[in-house]
Amino acid sequence: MKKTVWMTMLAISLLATGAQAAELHVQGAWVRLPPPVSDTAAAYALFGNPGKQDVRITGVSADVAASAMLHSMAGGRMETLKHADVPAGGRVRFAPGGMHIMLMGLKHPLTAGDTIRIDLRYADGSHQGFDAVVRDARSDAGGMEHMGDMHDMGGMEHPH
Amino acid sequence: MRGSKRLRRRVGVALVLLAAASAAIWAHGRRAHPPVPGYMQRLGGDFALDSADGVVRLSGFRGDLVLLYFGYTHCPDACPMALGRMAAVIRSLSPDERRHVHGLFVSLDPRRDTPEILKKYVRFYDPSFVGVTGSPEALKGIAARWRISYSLPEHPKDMNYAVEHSTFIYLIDAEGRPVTLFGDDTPLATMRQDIEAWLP
Repeated sequence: MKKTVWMTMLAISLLATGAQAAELHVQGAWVRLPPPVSDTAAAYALFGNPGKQDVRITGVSADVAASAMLHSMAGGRMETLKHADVPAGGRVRFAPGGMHIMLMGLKHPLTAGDTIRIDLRYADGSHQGFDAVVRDARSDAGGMEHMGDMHDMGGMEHPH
Repeated sequence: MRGSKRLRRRVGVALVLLAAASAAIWAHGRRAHPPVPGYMQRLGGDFALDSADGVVRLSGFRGDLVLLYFGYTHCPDACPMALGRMAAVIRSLSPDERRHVHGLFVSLDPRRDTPEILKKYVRFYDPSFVGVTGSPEALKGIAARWRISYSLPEHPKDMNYAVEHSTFIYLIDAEGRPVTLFGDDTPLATMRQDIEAWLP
């Protein structure tokens, strides 16, 4: 009896926590190694939302960059986004030629293999950090189709 | 007398045949190039901009093909992708073909991109690539003629700002005319086919 009450309380507290803070599953996060003279880099990842609420990313920051913003390529033009939404139960891919996180004013040159800490801010006021690996993408410039394959191989999540 | 007349007639016939054959070869050569879309015929034009090694004119590449891209070095996604794709497609050509295809990067952001910075930037992708820029007025004129839309902040609060811009790669033929556009989703194989179709 006592155990049941305890379990119920635990379940309620877990549910409450789940509803409180948005959380995304981040997979295959990487940062494009910029040329040595550039202090700007793009970060990409696959964001999955296992929750029942849509998650709105409203801001982004990284220790290594003076500032960061959300960007999107639309109709052959690069544009700044005020926010990005990951629908409940859905996934949003940040990938070359599409949405990306722009890291600006890099505080030191990046090296392939480095790990960069990136922090997402959500509309509900919570935030979440994730790690992205710096990768020299010059050799796989073969196009997005190839980059997509790389992501899918690197990622663990596949729709079943 | 009669013999020389006959000879003259024969030479005349031979010349006519030669002319017809040349015309046929010329026409065939012309036909071998894919058609240029109407909107492509209404844009372009020569320009002269500054590189770290002096003034570079688009017309200076006459006789060869050019892959032309407008961007800026602080561009994190579109420009690295485009330059990487330009380098990759050129690498995929035979050494003979490769000598006749050049990569030209025009920075729309002269406030931050000096010719020296541009040289180091493009060399990261291909040591043969050329990076150029110029005065804001010159760039504005060129962008208008090439239908490049871009927006530079007039009074940025700091030096970390993004430049919104068109992200097409232009293929310039041996006459200095833009003949086709490559988007960031154009497969490399298609780019390569188009380049080969326009090689001089």
